[in-house]
Amino acid sequence: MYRLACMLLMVFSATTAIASESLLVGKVVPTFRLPDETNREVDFGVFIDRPTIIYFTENSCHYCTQIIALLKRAEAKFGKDNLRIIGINVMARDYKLVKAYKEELGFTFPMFAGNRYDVLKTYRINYVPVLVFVDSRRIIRKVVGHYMLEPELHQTIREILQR
Amino acid sequence: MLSRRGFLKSSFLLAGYALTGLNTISLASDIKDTDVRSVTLEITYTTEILRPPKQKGIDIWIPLPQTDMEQEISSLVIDSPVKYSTEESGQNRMVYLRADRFNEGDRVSIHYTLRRKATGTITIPDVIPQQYLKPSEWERWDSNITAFVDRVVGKEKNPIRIGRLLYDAIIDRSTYVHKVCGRGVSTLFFEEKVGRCDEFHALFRSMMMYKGIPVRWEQGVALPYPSRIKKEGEFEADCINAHSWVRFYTGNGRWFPVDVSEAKRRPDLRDYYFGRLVPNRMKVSTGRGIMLSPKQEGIINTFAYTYMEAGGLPAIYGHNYKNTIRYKLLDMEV
Repeated sequence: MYRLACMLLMVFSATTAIASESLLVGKVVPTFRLPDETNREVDFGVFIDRPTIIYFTENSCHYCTQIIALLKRAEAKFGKDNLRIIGINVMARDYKLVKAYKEELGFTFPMFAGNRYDVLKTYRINYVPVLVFVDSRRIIRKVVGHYMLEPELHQTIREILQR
Repeated sequence: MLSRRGFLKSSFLLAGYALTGLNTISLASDIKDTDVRSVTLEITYTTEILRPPKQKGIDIWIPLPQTDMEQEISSLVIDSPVKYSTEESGQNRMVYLRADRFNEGDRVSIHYTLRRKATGTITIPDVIPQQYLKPSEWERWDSNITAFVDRVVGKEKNPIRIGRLLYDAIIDRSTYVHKVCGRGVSTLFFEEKVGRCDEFHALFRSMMMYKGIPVRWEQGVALPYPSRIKKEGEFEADCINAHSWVRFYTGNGRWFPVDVSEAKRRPDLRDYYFGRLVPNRMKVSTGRGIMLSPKQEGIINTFAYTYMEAGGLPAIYGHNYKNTIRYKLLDMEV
Protein backbone atom coordinates (compact mmCIF):
# COMPACT_ATOMS: atom_id res chain seq x y z
CA MET A 1 0.00 0.00 0.00
CA TYR A 2 2.83 2.36 1.00
CA ARG A 3 4.71 1.50 -2.21
CA LEU A 4 1.57 2.16 -4.26
CA ALA A 5 1.10 5.53 -2.56
CA CYS A 6 4.74 6.43 -3.26
CA MET A 7 4.37 5.43 -6.91
CA LEU A 8 1.19 7.50 -7.26
CA LEU A 9 2.91 10.44 -5.65
CA MET A 10 5.83 10.13 -8.08
CA VAL A 11 3.47 9.98 -11.07
CA PHE A 12 1.46 12.97 -9.93
CA SER A 13 4.59 14.91 -9.02
CA ALA A 14 5.96 14.35 -12.50
CA THR A 15 2.80 15.52 -14.21
CA THR A 16 2.41 18.41 -11.80
CA ALA A 17 5.84 19.56 -12.84
CA ILE A 18 4.64 19.65 -16.42
CA ALA A 19 1.43 21.43 -15.50
CA SER A 20 3.05 24.09 -13.34
CA GLU A 21 5.25 25.11 -16.24
CA SER A 22 2.14 26.41 -18.03
CA LEU A 23 2.73 29.74 -19.70
CA LEU A 24 -0.60 30.91 -18.27
CA VAL A 25 0.62 30.97 -14.66
CA GLY A 26 1.02 34.53 -13.38
CA LYS A 27 -1.19 36.03 -16.07
CA VAL A 28 -4.62 37.64 -15.79
CA VAL A 29 -7.27 35.04 -16.53
CA PRO A 30 -8.57 35.31 -20.13
CA THR A 31 -12.33 35.15 -20.52
CA PHE A 32 -14.75 34.51 -23.37
CA ARG A 33 -18.42 34.83 -24.17
CA LEU A 34 -19.76 31.27 -24.40
CA PRO A 35 -23.19 29.62 -24.38
CA ASP A 36 -24.41 28.40 -21.00
CA GLU A 37 -26.96 25.64 -20.48
CA THR A 38 -29.86 28.03 -21.16
CA ASN A 39 -28.35 29.06 -24.52
CA ARG A 40 -27.40 32.53 -23.27
CA GLU A 41 -24.04 33.86 -24.43
CA VAL A 42 -22.29 34.90 -21.22
CA ASP A 43 -18.81 36.24 -20.55
CA PHE A 44 -17.70 33.72 -17.94
CA GLY A 45 -15.42 36.42 -16.54
CA VAL A 46 -18.42 37.87 -14.68
CA PHE A 47 -18.29 34.82 -12.40
CA ILE A 48 -14.63 35.29 -11.52
CA ASP A 49 -15.35 37.58 -8.56
CA ARG A 50 -13.64 35.35 -5.97
CA PRO A 51 -11.03 32.57 -6.02
CA THR A 52 -12.07 30.34 -8.88
CA ILE A 53 -11.38 26.97 -10.47
CA ILE A 54 -12.00 26.84 -14.21
CA TYR A 55 -12.45 23.18 -15.06
CA PHE A 56 -12.03 21.90 -18.62
CA THR A 57 -13.73 18.55 -19.14
CA GLU A 58 -15.60 16.43 -21.67
CA ASN A 59 -18.00 13.47 -21.82
CA SER A 60 -15.71 10.57 -22.77
CA CYS A 61 -13.17 11.01 -19.98
CA HIS A 62 -13.62 8.88 -16.86
CA TYR A 63 -11.14 10.86 -14.77
CA CYS A 64 -12.99 14.04 -15.73
CA THR A 65 -16.27 12.59 -14.49
CA GLN A 66 -14.61 11.68 -11.20
CA ILE A 67 -13.24 15.20 -10.79
CA ILE A 68 -16.77 16.62 -11.04
CA ALA A 69 -17.56 14.71 -7.84
CA LEU A 70 -14.45 16.16 -6.18
CA LEU A 71 -15.43 19.68 -7.24
CA LYS A 72 -18.95 19.27 -5.88
CA ARG A 73 -17.49 18.23 -2.53
CA ALA A 74 -14.94 21.06 -2.59
CA GLU A 75 -17.69 23.60 -3.27
CA ALA A 76 -19.62 22.29 -0.26
CA LYS A 77 -16.52 22.19 1.96
CA PHE A 78 -15.10 25.64 1.20
CA GLY A 79 -18.44 27.38 0.56
CA LYS A 80 -19.86 28.97 -2.57
CA ASP A 81 -19.16 32.44 -1.16
CA ASN A 82 -15.44 31.67 -0.94
CA LEU A 83 -14.82 29.50 -3.97
CA ARG A 84 -16.24 29.71 -7.49
CA ILE A 85 -16.21 26.77 -9.83
CA ILE A 86 -16.74 27.20 -13.57
CA GLY A 87 -16.97 24.26 -15.94
CA ILE A 88 -16.04 24.36 -19.63
CA ASN A 89 -17.13 21.33 -21.65
CA VAL A 90 -14.67 21.13 -24.55
CA MET A 91 -16.88 18.64 -26.41
CA ALA A 92 -19.91 20.94 -26.37
CA ARG A 93 -20.57 23.24 -29.31
CA ASP A 94 -23.93 24.43 -28.00
CA TYR A 95 -26.01 24.57 -24.85
CA LYS A 96 -27.75 21.21 -25.24
CA LEU A 97 -24.80 19.06 -24.25
CA VAL A 98 -23.98 21.36 -21.33
CA LYS A 99 -27.56 21.16 -20.07
CA ALA A 100 -27.64 17.36 -20.33
CA TYR A 101 -24.18 17.05 -18.70
CA LYS A 102 -25.24 19.18 -15.72
CA GLU A 103 -28.50 17.28 -15.30
CA GLU A 104 -26.79 13.90 -15.44
CA LEU A 105 -24.06 14.75 -12.95
CA GLY A 106 -26.24 16.92 -10.74
CA PHE A 107 -24.11 19.97 -10.10
CA THR A 108 -25.17 23.61 -9.93
CA PHE A 109 -22.02 25.57 -10.74
CA PRO A 110 -22.01 27.30 -14.13
CA MET A 111 -20.83 25.41 -17.18
CA PHE A 112 -20.26 26.61 -20.74
CA ALA A 113 -19.96 25.09 -24.19
CA GLY A 114 -16.24 25.42 -24.89
CA ASN A 115 -15.52 23.54 -28.10
CA ARG A 116 -14.11 26.64 -29.76
CA TYR A 117 -10.60 26.90 -31.16
CA ASP A 118 -9.83 30.35 -29.75
CA VAL A 119 -10.78 29.26 -26.24
CA LEU A 120 -8.82 26.02 -26.43
CA LYS A 121 -5.81 27.71 -27.98
CA THR A 122 -5.77 30.48 -25.39
CA TYR A 123 -5.98 28.00 -22.51
CA ARG A 124 -3.71 25.53 -24.36
CA ILE A 125 -6.16 22.68 -23.91
CA ASN A 126 -5.00 19.69 -25.94
CA TYR A 127 -6.24 17.14 -23.45
CA VAL A 128 -8.49 16.92 -20.43
CA PRO A 129 -8.87 17.09 -17.48
CA VAL A 130 -7.34 20.53 -16.93
CA LEU A 131 -7.96 22.64 -13.83
CA VAL A 132 -7.02 26.33 -13.83
CA PHE A 133 -6.71 27.88 -10.36
CA VAL A 134 -7.36 31.62 -10.24
CA ASP A 135 -6.89 33.85 -7.19
CA SER A 136 -9.12 36.71 -5.99
CA ARG A 137 -7.11 39.19 -8.11
CA ARG A 138 -7.96 37.16 -11.24
CA ILE A 139 -4.38 35.93 -11.59
CA ILE A 140 -3.82 32.32 -12.67
CA ARG A 141 -1.80 30.64 -9.93
CA LYS A 142 -1.68 27.03 -11.08
CA VAL A 143 -2.70 24.86 -14.01
CA VAL A 144 -3.07 21.13 -13.38
CA GLY A 145 -3.40 18.86 -16.39
CA HIS A 146 -4.22 15.50 -14.83
CA TYR A 147 -6.45 13.78 -12.30
CA MET A 148 -6.06 15.24 -8.82
CA LEU A 149 -6.34 13.41 -5.56
CA GLU A 150 -8.68 15.18 -3.14
CA PRO A 151 -5.98 16.28 -0.62
CA GLU A 152 -3.97 17.88 -3.45
CA LEU A 153 -7.09 19.62 -4.76
CA HIS A 154 -7.93 20.97 -1.30
CA GLN A 155 -4.36 22.13 -0.71
CA THR A 156 -4.37 24.03 -4.00
CA ILE A 157 -7.73 25.60 -3.17
CA ARG A 158 -6.34 26.76 0.17
CA GLU A 159 -3.43 28.37 -1.67
CA ILE A 160 -5.70 30.47 -3.90
CA LEU A 161 -7.99 31.34 -0.97
CA GLN A 162 -5.02 32.74 0.97
CA ARG A 163 -3.87 35.09 -1.80
CA MET B 1 6.68 -19.83 -38.68
CA LEU B 2 7.88 -20.48 -35.18
CA SER B 3 11.57 -21.21 -34.83
CA ARG B 4 12.59 -24.28 -32.84
CA ARG B 5 14.17 -22.11 -30.17
CA GLY B 6 11.14 -19.84 -30.06
CA PHE B 7 8.79 -22.80 -29.91
CA LEU B 8 10.68 -24.31 -27.01
CA LYS B 9 10.79 -20.99 -25.18
CA SER B 10 7.08 -20.21 -25.53
CA SER B 11 6.06 -23.84 -24.87
CA PHE B 12 8.10 -23.85 -21.69
CA LEU B 13 6.53 -20.61 -20.53
CA LEU B 14 2.97 -21.65 -21.29
CA ALA B 15 3.58 -25.04 -19.63
CA GLY B 16 4.83 -23.11 -16.64
CA TYR B 17 1.56 -21.22 -16.47
CA ALA B 18 -0.44 -24.40 -16.65
CA LEU B 19 1.59 -26.03 -13.90
CA THR B 20 1.52 -23.12 -11.51
CA GLY B 21 -2.04 -22.07 -12.21
CA LEU B 22 -1.12 -18.45 -11.52
CA ASN B 23 -2.66 -15.68 -13.57
CA THR B 24 -0.18 -13.03 -12.58
CA ILE B 25 2.94 -14.45 -14.12
CA SER B 26 4.84 -11.83 -16.02
CA LEU B 27 6.99 -12.74 -18.98
CA ALA B 28 9.15 -9.69 -18.34
CA SER B 29 12.42 -11.46 -17.79
CA ASP B 30 11.96 -14.03 -20.52
CA ILE B 31 10.56 -12.39 -23.62
CA LYS B 32 11.96 -9.58 -25.72
CA ASP B 33 9.08 -7.58 -27.18
CA THR B 34 10.70 -7.29 -30.58
CA ASP B 35 11.15 -11.09 -30.82
CA VAL B 36 7.43 -11.80 -30.56
CA ARG B 37 5.84 -12.59 -33.90
CA SER B 38 2.24 -12.83 -32.75
CA VAL B 39 0.03 -12.88 -29.71
CA THR B 40 -3.29 -14.75 -29.64
CA LEU B 41 -5.86 -13.65 -27.11
CA GLU B 42 -9.41 -14.64 -26.26
CA ILE B 43 -11.14 -11.28 -25.85
CA THR B 44 -14.40 -10.31 -24.19
CA TYR B 45 -15.29 -6.66 -24.78
CA THR B 46 -18.19 -5.53 -22.59
CA THR B 47 -20.16 -2.30 -22.48
CA GLU B 48 -22.16 -2.02 -19.26
CA ILE B 49 -24.85 0.48 -18.38
CA LEU B 50 -23.93 2.03 -15.03
CA ARG B 51 -26.71 4.62 -14.74
CA PRO B 52 -29.31 4.78 -17.50
CA PRO B 53 -29.23 8.26 -19.06
CA LYS B 54 -32.14 10.51 -18.14
CA GLN B 55 -32.84 11.27 -21.79
CA LYS B 56 -34.89 8.71 -23.70
CA GLY B 57 -33.73 7.14 -26.93
CA ILE B 58 -30.37 5.45 -26.44
CA ASP B 59 -28.07 4.68 -29.37
CA ILE B 60 -24.93 2.58 -28.89
CA TRP B 61 -22.17 1.98 -31.43
CA ILE B 62 -19.40 -0.50 -30.57
CA PRO B 63 -16.38 -0.77 -32.90
CA LEU B 64 -15.75 -4.23 -34.32
CA PRO B 65 -12.15 -5.13 -35.07
CA GLN B 66 -11.61 -6.67 -38.49
CA THR B 67 -9.30 -9.19 -40.02
CA ASP B 68 -6.63 -7.57 -42.15
CA MET B 69 -2.91 -7.99 -42.83
CA GLU B 70 -2.04 -7.12 -39.24
CA GLN B 71 -4.52 -9.20 -37.26
CA GLU B 72 -7.00 -12.07 -37.47
CA ILE B 73 -10.39 -12.01 -35.78
CA SER B 74 -12.28 -15.30 -35.38
CA SER B 75 -15.02 -16.97 -33.31
CA LEU B 76 -17.00 -13.72 -33.05
CA VAL B 77 -20.08 -13.97 -30.78
CA ILE B 78 -22.26 -11.03 -29.70
CA ASP B 79 -24.46 -11.14 -26.56
CA SER B 80 -26.95 -8.30 -26.25
CA PRO B 81 -30.05 -7.66 -24.13
CA VAL B 82 -31.72 -5.94 -27.11
CA LYS B 83 -31.80 -6.45 -30.83
CA TYR B 84 -28.65 -5.32 -32.59
CA SER B 85 -27.31 -4.97 -36.11
CA THR B 86 -23.84 -5.11 -37.59
CA GLU B 87 -23.11 -2.01 -39.63
CA GLU B 88 -20.40 -0.72 -41.93
CA SER B 89 -19.38 2.86 -42.58
CA GLY B 90 -16.39 3.58 -44.75
CA GLN B 91 -13.64 1.22 -43.66
CA ASN B 92 -15.13 0.66 -40.24
CA ARG B 93 -17.47 -1.99 -38.83
CA MET B 94 -19.58 -1.68 -35.73
CA VAL B 95 -22.37 -3.19 -33.67
CA TYR B 96 -25.35 -0.86 -33.36
CA LEU B 97 -28.11 -1.01 -30.76
CA ARG B 98 -31.06 1.25 -30.13
CA ALA B 99 -33.60 1.20 -27.33
CA ASP B 100 -35.84 3.71 -25.58
CA ARG B 101 -34.15 2.85 -22.32
CA PHE B 102 -31.57 0.47 -20.94
CA ASN B 103 -31.51 -0.78 -17.37
CA GLU B 104 -28.71 -0.44 -14.88
CA GLY B 105 -26.43 -3.43 -15.27
CA ASP B 106 -27.43 -4.20 -18.86
CA ARG B 107 -24.41 -5.51 -20.73
CA VAL B 108 -23.47 -5.97 -24.34
CA SER B 109 -20.57 -8.39 -24.71
CA ILE B 110 -18.56 -9.21 -27.80
CA HIS B 111 -16.41 -12.34 -27.66
CA TYR B 112 -13.72 -13.13 -30.21
CA THR B 113 -10.27 -14.50 -30.70
CA LEU B 114 -7.61 -12.03 -31.77
CA ARG B 115 -4.31 -13.03 -33.34
CA ARG B 116 -2.28 -9.86 -33.52
CA LYS B 117 0.94 -10.03 -35.51
CA ALA B 118 4.13 -8.00 -35.38
CA THR B 119 3.94 -6.00 -38.58
CA GLY B 120 6.04 -3.83 -40.79
CA THR B 121 5.36 -2.27 -44.17
CA ILE B 122 2.22 -3.66 -45.79
CA THR B 123 0.96 -3.42 -49.34
CA ILE B 124 -2.59 -2.23 -49.91
CA PRO B 125 -3.03 -2.32 -53.67
CA ASP B 126 -6.56 -0.97 -54.20
CA VAL B 127 -6.31 2.23 -52.21
CA ILE B 128 -6.01 5.72 -53.69
CA PRO B 129 -3.23 7.24 -51.54
CA GLN B 130 -4.37 10.82 -52.19
CA GLN B 131 -7.46 10.30 -50.03
CA TYR B 132 -5.03 10.22 -47.08
CA LEU B 133 -3.84 13.73 -47.79
CA LYS B 134 -7.07 15.14 -46.39
CA PRO B 135 -6.59 16.44 -42.84
CA SER B 136 -9.25 16.02 -40.18
CA GLU B 137 -10.47 19.15 -38.41
CA TRP B 138 -7.86 18.50 -35.70
CA GLU B 139 -4.90 18.30 -38.05
CA ARG B 140 -3.70 21.67 -39.30
CA TRP B 141 -0.35 23.07 -40.22
CA ASP B 142 0.18 26.73 -39.46
CA SER B 143 3.19 28.85 -40.36
CA ASN B 144 5.06 27.74 -37.22
CA ILE B 145 4.71 24.09 -38.21
CA THR B 146 5.59 24.60 -41.86
CA ALA B 147 8.69 26.64 -40.93
CA PHE B 148 9.75 23.88 -38.53
CA VAL B 149 9.21 21.15 -41.14
CA ASP B 150 11.09 23.09 -43.79
CA ARG B 151 14.02 23.55 -41.43
CA VAL B 152 14.09 19.87 -40.34
CA VAL B 153 13.51 18.30 -43.74
CA GLY B 154 15.50 20.68 -45.92
CA LYS B 155 15.67 19.47 -49.51
CA GLU B 156 15.05 15.81 -48.69
CA LYS B 157 12.55 14.18 -51.08
CA ASN B 158 12.57 10.53 -50.01
CA PRO B 159 9.39 9.80 -47.98
CA ILE B 160 11.10 7.40 -45.59
CA ARG B 161 13.97 9.78 -44.87
CA ILE B 162 11.49 12.66 -44.43
CA GLY B 163 9.47 10.47 -42.10
CA ARG B 164 12.53 9.63 -40.00
CA LEU B 165 13.61 13.26 -39.72
CA LEU B 166 10.17 14.33 -38.52
CA TYR B 167 9.77 11.26 -36.26
CA ASP B 168 13.03 12.11 -34.49
CA ALA B 169 12.25 15.82 -34.33
CA ILE B 170 8.85 15.24 -32.69
CA ILE B 171 10.26 12.73 -30.18
CA ASP B 172 13.11 15.03 -29.24
CA ARG B 173 10.97 18.12 -28.61
CA SER B 174 7.93 16.54 -26.89
CA THR B 175 6.95 15.10 -23.54
CA TYR B 176 4.61 12.13 -23.17
CA VAL B 177 1.83 12.30 -20.58
CA HIS B 178 -0.31 9.23 -19.98
CA LYS B 179 -3.39 9.61 -17.77
CA VAL B 180 -5.24 12.19 -19.82
CA CYS B 181 -7.72 12.14 -22.69
CA GLY B 182 -6.12 13.75 -25.71
CA ARG B 183 -7.84 15.82 -28.35
CA GLY B 184 -5.12 15.31 -30.93
CA VAL B 185 -4.85 18.89 -32.19
CA SER B 186 -1.59 19.25 -34.09
CA THR B 187 -1.12 23.01 -33.71
CA LEU B 188 -1.71 22.97 -29.96
CA PHE B 189 0.64 20.01 -29.50
CA PHE B 190 3.30 21.75 -31.54
CA GLU B 191 3.12 24.74 -29.18
CA GLU B 192 2.56 22.92 -25.90
CA LYS B 193 4.87 19.94 -26.61
CA VAL B 194 2.98 17.74 -24.14
CA GLY B 195 0.54 15.01 -25.09
CA ARG B 196 -0.09 11.35 -25.70
CA CYS B 197 -0.56 9.18 -28.78
CA ASP B 198 -3.23 11.24 -30.54
CA GLU B 199 -1.21 14.43 -30.15
CA PHE B 200 2.03 12.85 -31.39
CA HIS B 201 0.35 11.31 -34.42
CA ALA B 202 -1.81 14.31 -35.28
CA LEU B 203 1.37 16.36 -35.51
CA PHE B 204 3.30 13.72 -37.44
CA ARG B 205 0.40 13.29 -39.87
CA SER B 206 0.04 17.06 -40.33
CA MET B 207 3.75 17.49 -41.02
CA MET B 208 3.86 14.62 -43.51
CA MET B 209 0.72 15.81 -45.31
CA TYR B 210 2.26 19.26 -45.59
CA LYS B 211 5.13 17.54 -47.43
CA GLY B 212 2.57 15.83 -49.69
CA ILE B 213 2.96 12.36 -48.17
CA PRO B 214 -0.33 10.49 -47.53
CA VAL B 215 -0.78 9.16 -43.98
CA ARG B 216 -3.39 6.67 -42.69
CA TRP B 217 -4.62 7.00 -39.11
CA GLU B 218 -5.00 3.62 -37.42
CA GLN B 219 -7.02 3.56 -34.23
CA GLY B 220 -6.96 0.83 -31.68
CA VAL B 221 -6.66 -0.21 -28.09
CA ALA B 222 -3.37 -0.73 -26.31
CA LEU B 223 -2.72 -4.27 -25.09
CA PRO B 224 0.01 -5.15 -22.60
CA TYR B 225 3.47 -5.58 -24.08
CA PRO B 226 4.30 -9.26 -24.69
CA SER B 227 7.03 -9.01 -22.05
CA ARG B 228 4.50 -7.88 -19.47
CA ILE B 229 1.32 -9.64 -20.48
CA LYS B 230 -0.31 -11.94 -17.95
CA LYS B 231 -2.15 -15.18 -18.50
CA GLU B 232 -5.39 -13.27 -17.94
CA GLY B 233 -6.12 -9.60 -17.51
CA GLU B 234 -8.73 -6.88 -17.59
CA PHE B 235 -8.67 -3.18 -18.34
CA GLU B 236 -11.01 -0.40 -19.40
CA ALA B 237 -11.55 0.38 -23.05
CA ASP B 238 -11.60 4.15 -22.67
CA CYS B 239 -9.66 7.19 -23.75
CA ILE B 240 -6.77 6.31 -21.43
CA ASN B 241 -6.23 2.89 -23.01
CA ALA B 242 -7.09 3.90 -26.56
CA HIS B 243 -4.04 3.94 -28.79
CA SER B 244 -3.33 5.33 -32.25
CA TRP B 245 -0.49 4.94 -34.72
CA VAL B 246 -0.07 5.85 -38.39
CA ARG B 247 1.17 4.48 -41.71
CA PHE B 248 2.59 6.69 -44.41
CA TYR B 249 2.77 6.00 -48.11
CA THR B 250 6.13 5.17 -49.66
CA GLY B 251 4.96 4.35 -53.20
CA ASN B 252 3.84 1.25 -55.12
CA GLY B 253 0.98 0.51 -52.72
CA ARG B 254 3.28 0.27 -49.70
CA TRP B 255 2.38 1.75 -46.29
CA PHE B 256 5.13 2.20 -43.69
CA PRO B 257 4.13 2.10 -39.98
CA VAL B 258 5.35 4.41 -37.22
CA ASP B 259 4.39 4.69 -33.59
CA VAL B 260 5.90 7.99 -32.51
CA SER B 261 4.43 8.10 -29.00
CA GLU B 262 5.49 4.56 -28.10
CA ALA B 263 8.96 5.37 -29.40
CA LYS B 264 8.96 8.27 -26.95
CA ARG B 265 7.82 6.03 -24.10
CA ARG B 266 10.20 3.21 -24.99
CA PRO B 267 13.54 4.71 -26.03
CA ASP B 268 14.89 1.16 -26.43
CA LEU B 269 12.37 0.68 -29.27
CA ARG B 270 12.96 4.02 -30.99
CA ASP B 271 14.50 2.48 -34.09
CA TYR B 272 12.07 -0.45 -34.06
CA TYR B 273 8.95 1.72 -34.04
CA PHE B 274 10.07 3.44 -37.20
CA GLY B 275 8.85 0.76 -39.58
CA ARG B 276 7.66 -2.02 -37.22
CA LEU B 277 4.87 -2.47 -34.69
CA VAL B 278 4.95 -4.72 -31.62
CA PRO B 279 1.77 -6.86 -31.25
CA ASN B 280 0.73 -4.92 -28.15
CA ARG B 281 -2.34 -3.42 -29.80
CA MET B 282 -5.60 -4.25 -31.49
CA LYS B 283 -6.80 -2.16 -34.41
CA VAL B 284 -10.50 -1.32 -34.25
CA SER B 285 -11.02 1.50 -36.75
CA THR B 286 -9.36 3.71 -39.35
CA GLY B 287 -9.40 7.48 -39.63
CA ARG B 288 -10.58 10.48 -37.61
CA GLY B 289 -13.74 12.55 -37.72
CA ILE B 290 -15.72 9.31 -37.94
CA MET B 291 -19.20 8.98 -39.38
CA LEU B 292 -20.98 5.98 -37.88
CA SER B 293 -23.84 3.92 -39.28
CA PRO B 294 -26.54 4.93 -38.71
CA LYS B 295 -25.15 8.44 -38.51
CA GLN B 296 -24.58 9.80 -35.03
CA GLU B 297 -25.51 13.33 -33.91
CA GLY B 298 -22.26 14.16 -32.13
CA ILE B 299 -18.74 14.62 -33.50
CA ILE B 300 -16.44 11.65 -33.07
CA ASN B 301 -12.75 12.47 -33.03
CA THR B 302 -11.63 8.81 -33.06
CA PHE B 303 -13.56 5.55 -32.71
CA ALA B 304 -11.58 3.40 -30.31
CA TYR B 305 -14.33 2.23 -27.98
CA THR B 306 -18.09 2.35 -27.49
CA TYR B 307 -19.86 5.59 -28.32
CA MET B 308 -23.26 6.19 -26.77
CA GLU B 309 -25.85 8.90 -27.33
CA ALA B 310 -28.92 9.65 -25.24
CA GLY B 311 -31.53 11.79 -26.92
CA GLY B 312 -29.00 12.57 -29.64
CA LEU B 313 -26.33 13.80 -27.20
CA PRO B 314 -23.14 12.02 -26.14
CA ALA B 315 -23.61 10.07 -22.89
CA ILE B 316 -21.05 10.39 -20.10
CA TYR B 317 -18.36 7.74 -19.86
CA GLY B 318 -17.81 6.46 -16.34
CA HIS B 319 -21.22 7.75 -15.28
CA ASN B 320 -23.72 6.32 -17.77
CA TYR B 321 -21.62 3.46 -19.08
CA LYS B 322 -18.27 1.74 -18.94
CA ASN B 323 -16.32 -0.55 -21.26
CA THR B 324 -14.13 -3.42 -20.15
CA ILE B 325 -11.79 -5.69 -22.05
CA ARG B 326 -11.01 -9.08 -20.51
CA TYR B 327 -8.37 -11.22 -22.17
CA LYS B 328 -6.90 -14.68 -21.88
CA LEU B 329 -3.52 -15.36 -23.40
CA LEU B 330 -3.89 -18.37 -25.69
CA ASP B 331 -0.61 -18.31 -27.55
CA MET B 332 2.52 -16.32 -28.13
CA GLU B 333 4.63 -16.98 -31.18
CA VAL B 334 8.28 -16.09 -30.74
